[in-house]
Amino acid sequence: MSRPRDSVILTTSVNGLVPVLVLVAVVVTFRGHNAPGGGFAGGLIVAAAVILRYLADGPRAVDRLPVQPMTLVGAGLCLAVAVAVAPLFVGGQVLESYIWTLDVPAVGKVKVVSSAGFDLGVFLLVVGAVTGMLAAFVEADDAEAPDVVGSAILESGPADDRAPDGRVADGRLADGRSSADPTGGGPGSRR
Amino acid sequence: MSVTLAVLAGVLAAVGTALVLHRTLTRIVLGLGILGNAVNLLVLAAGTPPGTAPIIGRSGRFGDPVPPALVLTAIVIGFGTIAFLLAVAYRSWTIDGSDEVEDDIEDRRLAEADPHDADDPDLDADERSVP
Amino acid sequence: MTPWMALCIVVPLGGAAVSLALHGRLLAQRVIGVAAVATTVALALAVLVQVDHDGRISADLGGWPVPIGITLVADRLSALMLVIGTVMLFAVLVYALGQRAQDERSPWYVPVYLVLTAGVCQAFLAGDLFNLFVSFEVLLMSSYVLVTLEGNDRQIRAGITYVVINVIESTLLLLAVALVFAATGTLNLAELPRRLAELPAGVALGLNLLLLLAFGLKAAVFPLFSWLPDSYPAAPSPVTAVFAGLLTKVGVYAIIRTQTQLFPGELRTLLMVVAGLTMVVGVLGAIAQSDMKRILSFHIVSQIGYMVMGLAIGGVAAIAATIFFVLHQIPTKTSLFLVEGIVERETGTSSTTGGAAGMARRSGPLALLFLLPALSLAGIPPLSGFVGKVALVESGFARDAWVVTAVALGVSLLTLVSMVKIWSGVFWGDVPGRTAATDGTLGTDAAEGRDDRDGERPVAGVLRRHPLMSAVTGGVVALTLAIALLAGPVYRYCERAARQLAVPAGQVGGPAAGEARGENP
Repeated sequence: MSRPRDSVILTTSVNGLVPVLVLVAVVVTFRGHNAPGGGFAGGLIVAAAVILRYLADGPRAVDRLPVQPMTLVGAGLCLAVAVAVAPLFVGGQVLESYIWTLDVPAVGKVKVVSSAGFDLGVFLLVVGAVTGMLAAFVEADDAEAPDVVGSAILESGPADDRAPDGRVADGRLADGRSSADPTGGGPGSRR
Repeated sequence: MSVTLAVLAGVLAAVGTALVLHRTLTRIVLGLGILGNAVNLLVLAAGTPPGTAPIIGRSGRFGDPVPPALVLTAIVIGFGTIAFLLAVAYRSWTIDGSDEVEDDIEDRRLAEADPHDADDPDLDADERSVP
Repeated sequence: MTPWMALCIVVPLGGAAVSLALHGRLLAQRVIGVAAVATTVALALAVLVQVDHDGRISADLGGWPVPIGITLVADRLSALMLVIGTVMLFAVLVYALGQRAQDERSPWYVPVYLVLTAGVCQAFLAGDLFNLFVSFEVLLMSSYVLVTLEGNDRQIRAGITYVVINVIESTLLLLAVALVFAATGTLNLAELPRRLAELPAGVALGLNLLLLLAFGLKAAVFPLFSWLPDSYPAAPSPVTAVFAGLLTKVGVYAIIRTQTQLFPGELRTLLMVVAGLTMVVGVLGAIAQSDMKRILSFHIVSQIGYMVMGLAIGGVAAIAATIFFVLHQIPTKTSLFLVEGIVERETGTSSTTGGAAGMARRSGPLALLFLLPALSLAGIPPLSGFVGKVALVESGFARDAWVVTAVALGVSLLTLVSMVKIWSGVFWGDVPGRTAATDGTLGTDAAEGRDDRDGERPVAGVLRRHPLMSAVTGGVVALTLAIALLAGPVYRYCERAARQLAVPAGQVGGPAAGEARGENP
């Protein structure tokens, strides 16, 4: 699981696919206001792109992530909560949504909805949570690698993917477990 | 209410229940996923017939938004829970290499202990050495 | 409209967000955690004051009216639960910070705990079944993480049971919610009583049983309790304290709400049987155990039986007694687990068969901090448990529920027996092995016994070594004493809450909700 796949086809197609997926995710996120889509679906698409990268490049893809996944979760939740609370300061109610119509030169009328910020928060949260889970699993897998290298290779060769009694230091998987939680918090904040 | 959906939900619920009753954690996780899907289908089937999205300002026959909302929420929650359970299963496997759900250890110990010896000082001494 | 109710949910969630973003900075996380929960306590108090004045307040999130939007509703029962719940969450958070244990050092502890807080608040304020379902999920999801935070063998084993059982519970709840919606076309708690009354009796009964099954699993009533004594003791003590004090009571709260408002008095006989068996089986289980944490866990089950008994007896007096009992139970149970946490921290074990013996000799005040809530749990006058039990028994006699009342009295006695077991195993006797911490102030314990703030001025070595933990435990014990001291006003509030719940189904919906909305333009 931790070894990169040396598949030229996969690597090449992923290189082309990832930008497209991110673009699709952005479209899906913003059309979610009154059509199928939204932050959750968009976030999952980006997360799928990250997972594709991982499948093609192996753990390097996770190590190279530009942002810490948990920072992303925090930022997303912050944004969502901020958008939920903001109307209180202008005399509205929690989670109230406002629509502004702007006249942008050369583009025409653009509708800006304040709840798009909420969707963006959910988007960030989902991307962070899913990549966080992936990172935690990869890390747990890596932590096991010494066992595999140390014992299993000598005995039965590299074909053995995992040592069945491979032990991981205590608390190692804390990341994996906890990263599942913001996803649980997600639906609560979505509503 | 669509008969196909209802029957499908029933079959999935049966499969899910059978899987949950296993002792292997991975099967339980799979079973919970399938059980969740069975309920999700049932929720959809329990809703009113399909229609257009109920957005204020539009006309036409509206679908009822509540069942899909329930299902979406349940799917998201199920996604998180299954991910968590898989992490726990993985952790359990890294700890003792098994995938089995164990009994309550303390309970089993109590059940095996002779009740008449509960206040026996010898037993106390034994137990003192255990921790 | 006043945004307090919504802020009760949003503030802890916002705290969770900020503390997640501050990933890795423990001190900042703790400050944010304590500040957020403290703010929530203040907000909950504001809600309580307003609710007691107005009767019932509701808020439509996002400005959408009832059939479309999400409604938060607070009546006297939910406001009371909200206050006691947030106070306990606050106390346990501070306690956990003082414990300096492994789990609390995890960067996940504070964010997850704040999400749990948000979930609990949302559950008490939910105005519809959908929202109730979501809030259960939020608090369950965070409780999964808290139960298995250390990730050791024992926690994972117990955590698996806990998670699987609760996922099944969620599935059942979702099913129940969906079927209720299919049958009535609404999920609003204010609208439901009227619609449910129009249903054929069989359909209503089925829905009722399904909801009771789901909430009963959460509340750990008789046939559905066996997961609790297995999984709770595996969690770290502060986590167990908050679970014992709160999470099962959220289930009880949901049962109270459904059984009084949605299906008033329908399942009385069933509830009566369930109540009796829950009490008896719980307390017998407790007597058989030889570990303080497990004894206390079985007591959670046993005490749930009393609450269900009040519901089964029915009528305003019994419901008021139930509410009072829940109110007394939350801090009492929490404080017992907090004391257990100190014992475990000090001796490394909570076994009643050695290891932890002689705690009273090492710290008299700690023994007192255990003794007060323990006696209260058993229902010894003049403590709060006595008031609650008297009220329950009285309403039982008034309604000729002789059998269950007799069972309740017998179980009280057995509760005392198992508390004596803890007392003699953990607090009495000589300190095993090591020499007792020299404790010159032991003789003054009796004189200070009546002092509520005992724990805040640690006089013995044990308490001095854990000042924050002791202070919090002392505070929670003081709270239970305060409930006993102020039993009169508190009980009158419970009666007002019970009368509000007993308003005939038809009137709950339209006028009350409408009037409340009119007040908050």
